[in-house]
Amino acid sequence: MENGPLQLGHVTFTNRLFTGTGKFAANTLIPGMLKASGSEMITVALRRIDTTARSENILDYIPRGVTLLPNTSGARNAEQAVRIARIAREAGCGDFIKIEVITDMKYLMPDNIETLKATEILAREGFIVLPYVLPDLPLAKRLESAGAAAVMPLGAPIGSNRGLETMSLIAILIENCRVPVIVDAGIGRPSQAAAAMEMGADAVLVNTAIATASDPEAMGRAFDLAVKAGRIAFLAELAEPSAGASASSPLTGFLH
Amino acid sequence: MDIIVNGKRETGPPCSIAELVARKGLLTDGLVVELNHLIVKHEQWQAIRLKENDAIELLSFVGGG
Repeated sequence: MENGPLQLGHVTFTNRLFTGTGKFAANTLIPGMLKASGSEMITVALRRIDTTARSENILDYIPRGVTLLPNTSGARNAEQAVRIARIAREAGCGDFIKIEVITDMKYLMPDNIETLKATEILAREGFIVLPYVLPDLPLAKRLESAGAAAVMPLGAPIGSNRGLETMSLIAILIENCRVPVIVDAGIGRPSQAAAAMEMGADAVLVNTAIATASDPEAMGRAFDLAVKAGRIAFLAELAEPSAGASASSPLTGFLH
Repeated sequence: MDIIVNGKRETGPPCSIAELVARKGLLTDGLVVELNHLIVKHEQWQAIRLKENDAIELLSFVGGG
């Protein structure tokens, strides 16, 4: 199979590692990370301004040519997510929106029902909707029907670095979804990103693991290589595991 | 005049959005203003005067995943 680009809405991505702007020790680390990782899309969040502090504009650290993916973090229901999405677009962030509706503050589990409602509304308004969800096949099919541009199942809770705990459920989405499946949240190591790509995920979104590394630039590069390796391996079709050994060298013509 | 800024009631002299932003010493680069649930573009900040009980949100993009 050919390693073609990933199409989301009207935008074509050649790099399948999406990144986030959260948790960096300094915003000045972001441009170097983007360059080293080759990431072509990065998330941002919208918040009330702290009128007592002098704040930086995060958008100043994101080079032109990198697509912005505003998220709706902070939204506790569909209505709030829709409001944030509309503000982000009006503010010039483009048509992409990552829907993130969370009411569970311990595990930050997405509310799949409110996420579906927000997707229905925002897709109708022409947004390129990327919903962050628990991997649930019937929901994913409803999101597709509602016009989601992709589905973004979590591998593990946000920021947990626990990897692909939901692997078998994500595999079901990959097998059955028409829209791209982007593994978002929980990926802590490049090997886990590679594993997601090997199983056929269309892309991964990694924030914490890169942003909190001692060297985010180098970690961004490591994730880029892992995502590329995993993608190539998936397209090359992996050999099946077996219980017993299967000799790689001929079992005849020995020298003794 | 009472207005609600980022969810908190404030009392101050009548002003435009631009004047409120300046009074608070905010950088306008990256600032997003929502007035009564409607986005107000930067070009309109000077012209729009705040009215009693207006709810204004002063927002910006921040790091997030």
